[in-house]
Amino acid sequence: MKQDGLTIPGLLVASLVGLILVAALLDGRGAHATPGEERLFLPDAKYLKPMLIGFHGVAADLLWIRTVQYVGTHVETDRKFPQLAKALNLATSLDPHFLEPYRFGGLYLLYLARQPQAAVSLLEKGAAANPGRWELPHDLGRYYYLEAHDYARSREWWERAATLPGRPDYLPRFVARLYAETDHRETALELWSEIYRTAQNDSVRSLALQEIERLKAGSSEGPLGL
Amino acid sequence: MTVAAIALNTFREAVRDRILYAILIFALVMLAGSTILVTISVGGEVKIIKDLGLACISIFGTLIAIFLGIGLVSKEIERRTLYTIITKPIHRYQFILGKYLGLVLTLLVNVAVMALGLLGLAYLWEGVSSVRLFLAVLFIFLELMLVTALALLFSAFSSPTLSAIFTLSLFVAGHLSGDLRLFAARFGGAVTKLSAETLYFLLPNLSRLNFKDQAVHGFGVDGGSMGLSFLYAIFHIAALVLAAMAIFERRDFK
Repeated sequence: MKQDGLTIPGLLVASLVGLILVAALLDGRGAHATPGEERLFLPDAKYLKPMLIGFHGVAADLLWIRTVQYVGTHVETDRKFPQLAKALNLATSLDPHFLEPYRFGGLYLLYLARQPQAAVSLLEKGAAANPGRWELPHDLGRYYYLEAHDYARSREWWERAATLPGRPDYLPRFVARLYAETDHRETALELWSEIYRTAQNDSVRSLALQEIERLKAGSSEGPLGL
Repeated sequence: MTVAAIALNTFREAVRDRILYAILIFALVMLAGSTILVTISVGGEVKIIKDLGLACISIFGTLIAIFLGIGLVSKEIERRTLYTIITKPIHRYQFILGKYLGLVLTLLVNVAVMALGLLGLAYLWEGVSSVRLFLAVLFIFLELMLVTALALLFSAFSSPTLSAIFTLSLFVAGHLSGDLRLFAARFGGAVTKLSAETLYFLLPNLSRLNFKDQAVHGFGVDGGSMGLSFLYAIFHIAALVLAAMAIFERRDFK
């Protein structure tokens, strides 16, 4: 019996050592794989949502967190984001009232993935699903102002955002300037300063800082070269 | 008095079950874990905490309801304690009602512990207490009462394993019953449509009791819909418990 007693803990320790060794070997193999090789599982929201039996909100949260990690990984490696637009589209279809994937996802698509059309589609989808929220027309106005330099459309979106509750104080001022067609550099500086002030991660903050410095130096070229 | 005595006894018995504590501790750990998870997100922290918290209450509450509910009658038969009880001047319906209320009391205590954890966390992050969140938890509790009634019904005539399978299947089907009607309207002939309609009204439509989105996004809640949903759950629970009573009354224990 004593011998049995000694054998079991011995085998247990051996199993644990084996486990750690195999895990380390597997991790080592993973480290040699092509960076950013991992794929996000992104089924069609139309089929996925009913299968989540009422837990679509949690699924959207977890997908958003996974998307943030995906962006972080690819920013540090190949700076390619082939699944970003689809992931954001799925997260926002699972929970159309979850604003962060539209807002931050829009920034990622625009400035990291360089997919302005996908960013605009995402923000327009958000504005349609959340007609009472100022944030999405505000971000669309910002895109048309800073990147597309389409001041008429920018004014259109900002006018809409300015009528909604909770909008920032600067919006009516921006609309007035757009009507007067003046102070574009000042408006751009205010917008980027606002992004810098409210940024919740380093990549967005450094992007905003870069743009503020560029505007202060007098360069008119935007981050997309538009 | 008899019903209350059976209910209290069922409650005492349930709180001695170790599985209950295992599930409860796991749920509380998951709730606390959501605060770690939000640190790797960009924005939406309060939403994520509320979503995960409500999902924890719903999932772990359902596990408690099923695991304890399926053994309500069969355990008594297995341990032969039922034979002693039914020889006493107790109506069989009183036994079923007492058992049901005892498990509902157990669920109430568990949901209250988990809800306090969630409401506390939400308060710490938001700085305000949310009435909508409380209402969402209340409707999750109603859903759990319904699931318990389903488990009790199956437990009245079936083995624990089969009861668990039936209850879990109906829990999933209950969240999809709205799609059943949609499917019939789109594809079915007259017979299919009638069958689907009948099934739709018989199956519990659990999505009617889902107010999680309103709680998480702070949307206005329509009092009328909420009141009707409350009545819907109460009628469904009453029908299921009465059906369990009817089956149990006719059951031969010789």
